[in-house]
Amino acid sequence: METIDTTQAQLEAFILDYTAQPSVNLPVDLAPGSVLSEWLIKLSAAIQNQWRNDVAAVTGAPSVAAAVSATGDTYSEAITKVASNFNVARDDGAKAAGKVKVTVATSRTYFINSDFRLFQPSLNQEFQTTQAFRVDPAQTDNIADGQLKLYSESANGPYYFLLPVEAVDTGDAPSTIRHNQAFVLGTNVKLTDFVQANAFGSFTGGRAKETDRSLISRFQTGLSAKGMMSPVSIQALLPTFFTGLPTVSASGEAQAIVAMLGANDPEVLRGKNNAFGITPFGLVDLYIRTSQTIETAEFTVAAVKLNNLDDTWQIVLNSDTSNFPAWFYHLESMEFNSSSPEVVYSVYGSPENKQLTPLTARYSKYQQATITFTHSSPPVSATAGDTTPVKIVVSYMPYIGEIQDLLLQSAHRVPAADYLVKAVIPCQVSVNINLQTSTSQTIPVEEIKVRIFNYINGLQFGESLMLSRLVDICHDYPIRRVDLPLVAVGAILTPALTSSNTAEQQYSTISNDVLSIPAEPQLLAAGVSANTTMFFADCSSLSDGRETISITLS
Amino acid sequence: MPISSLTTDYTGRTRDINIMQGANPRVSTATKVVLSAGKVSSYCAGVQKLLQRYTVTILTPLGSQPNYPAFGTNLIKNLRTKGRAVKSDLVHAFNFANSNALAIMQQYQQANPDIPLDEQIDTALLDDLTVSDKGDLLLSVRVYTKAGTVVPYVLPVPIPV
Repeated sequence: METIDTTQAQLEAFILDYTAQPSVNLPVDLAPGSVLSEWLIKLSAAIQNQWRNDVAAVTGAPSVAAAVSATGDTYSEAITKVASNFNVARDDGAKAAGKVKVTVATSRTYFINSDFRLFQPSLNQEFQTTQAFRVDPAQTDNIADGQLKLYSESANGPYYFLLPVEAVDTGDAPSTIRHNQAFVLGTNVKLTDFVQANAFGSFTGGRAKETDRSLISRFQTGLSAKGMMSPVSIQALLPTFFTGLPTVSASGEAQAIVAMLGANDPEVLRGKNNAFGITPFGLVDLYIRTSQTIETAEFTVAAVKLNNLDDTWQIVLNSDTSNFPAWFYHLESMEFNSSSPEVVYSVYGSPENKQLTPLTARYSKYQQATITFTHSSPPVSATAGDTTPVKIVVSYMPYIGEIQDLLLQSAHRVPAADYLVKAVIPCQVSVNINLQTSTSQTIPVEEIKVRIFNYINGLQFGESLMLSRLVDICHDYPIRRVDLPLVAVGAILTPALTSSNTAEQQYSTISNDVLSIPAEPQLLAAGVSANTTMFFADCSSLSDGRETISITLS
Repeated sequence: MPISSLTTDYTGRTRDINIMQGANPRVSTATKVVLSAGKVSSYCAGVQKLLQRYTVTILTPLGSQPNYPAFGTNLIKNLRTKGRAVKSDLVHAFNFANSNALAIMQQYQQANPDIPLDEQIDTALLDDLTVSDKGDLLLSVRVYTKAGTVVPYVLPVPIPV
């Protein structure tokens, strides 16, 4: 849409050019407050601006063919109405949102207004609060009432509060904001005693408003691929059911990436407990990637005291745990544990999918995790059977349980198949790159990281990571050279039955030319192969300060 | 308004449409000015154009222009809502509005430094305010230009008091 300032500038330029002609020779004053500006220019600009935007809206996409062939993005109301005939609605986009841990130096009451802004420099995104908050050490978190608690990390501070924010604009983020990523105060924003601000848990990804071209492709694909019989049809249909699906594809369109494995595939471990040890036809494992990065979030769950003899407590996590991804990859951290908690995985409730074992249920909604730990600060006078809330942080792939439920619905279920939906097995990549530069050139390190991130996270099932491609990316910038060899390390989070079996849980593969998912018997025995495992990279630093994509300049 | 000389030489000047009908620079006493384009339109430049711009800026109600919510002041609105106001209230209302109007004009001047100095406003001060025999409010304002000229004039406020 053309802004009023642009229309006014064009009108003023036209008037000045016309009056400057020798035949007219009438230099006019268009300053604010002048009659010509207030009575002629501004009124004309307002009318013309409205006309121009109305014409642009009408001519932008008068037909499906015009929208498809348009050089820029169009958002025609006519296309929205056409799509509704195919039961498809335009996605109006979403703003990235999450919580920021704001650390302050003094324990007192703080007032945060409704337009309080924080800026994330590496992603160049601004975030704001949507309501006013009162932060007080004496009260509890009650976001609906605008109240936040001021927590204390120790008796003498520092102090912090968890501030809910959302992005100022809808739109795709180049990467999801990760836990502990730093923010700065926005322009002209002041907060007395401010120390620092960091992301608290992962943010939900932002999403741009769906263009006409993307909307048309959805209902075109929907017409041709209605069943759940192939990875292509499932990939095409999932965004219609889950409009919140984050951007995964290289083209920027919202879709999941699906690998479908059946009886003839060695990665399918179900159903082999028969006389021949062969998986029967009909059992299908779907490995799905629904997000560019692995989500990490905090959840509050209930822990139960096991006995009256010591402070051993237990948490059971399964699909009945409210608002919790039962298919999570790994327990990242938890409060109140005085030693490393033990996690044991088993199967929970599989009336639709039979023949599940604890290993084959991993990363699916039928996974059950039992966490046993020693409580470092147990409630006073707690007895066996008492419960207490405990905060845990887990990593997971979103929507896996919801997709499993969709495929079990009678309207979508394939009668001859038994679909088991599992989260893709992640291979987390880390690489150190040293660039030789000249002192006169500024190298945009964060931009290089984002491009490397997009390349690694855009690799499909079966594709290998070419380290030469990373060198290509670096040489798009004014560097002298990339120090070779580049070494990439991939850590595969292999499914295991317990958390203590770390030797199996993280399998590392290293390469200095092509990083591939190994084809090894011990990995295949856990269902790990290039058909079930994908590469993941992360732009931001880990909680202990290490970077997965590390770029240094010399 | 006291004018030292008259000229019709507009060389180096930009012109605006004159809407201060009735202004007579040849007399030294105050004359009534009607804000209109007049039966026969004419130009203005120099100090008269400056006073015209200042008058339009300070009398335009803030938010009254579609798409330009930041142009104007709250002078008319505050004067209309004062009710049984005392003189000091009216002085405050003028001072707030004057500050806004000066900010708008000075921001434009900073972006266009080649404007002649007698068409650039330095500041404006309220000398006095009185009520006419017809009940209208008359604000006696002294306008200072960057050329050093001091121009006293009466700002016509189009509301009865």
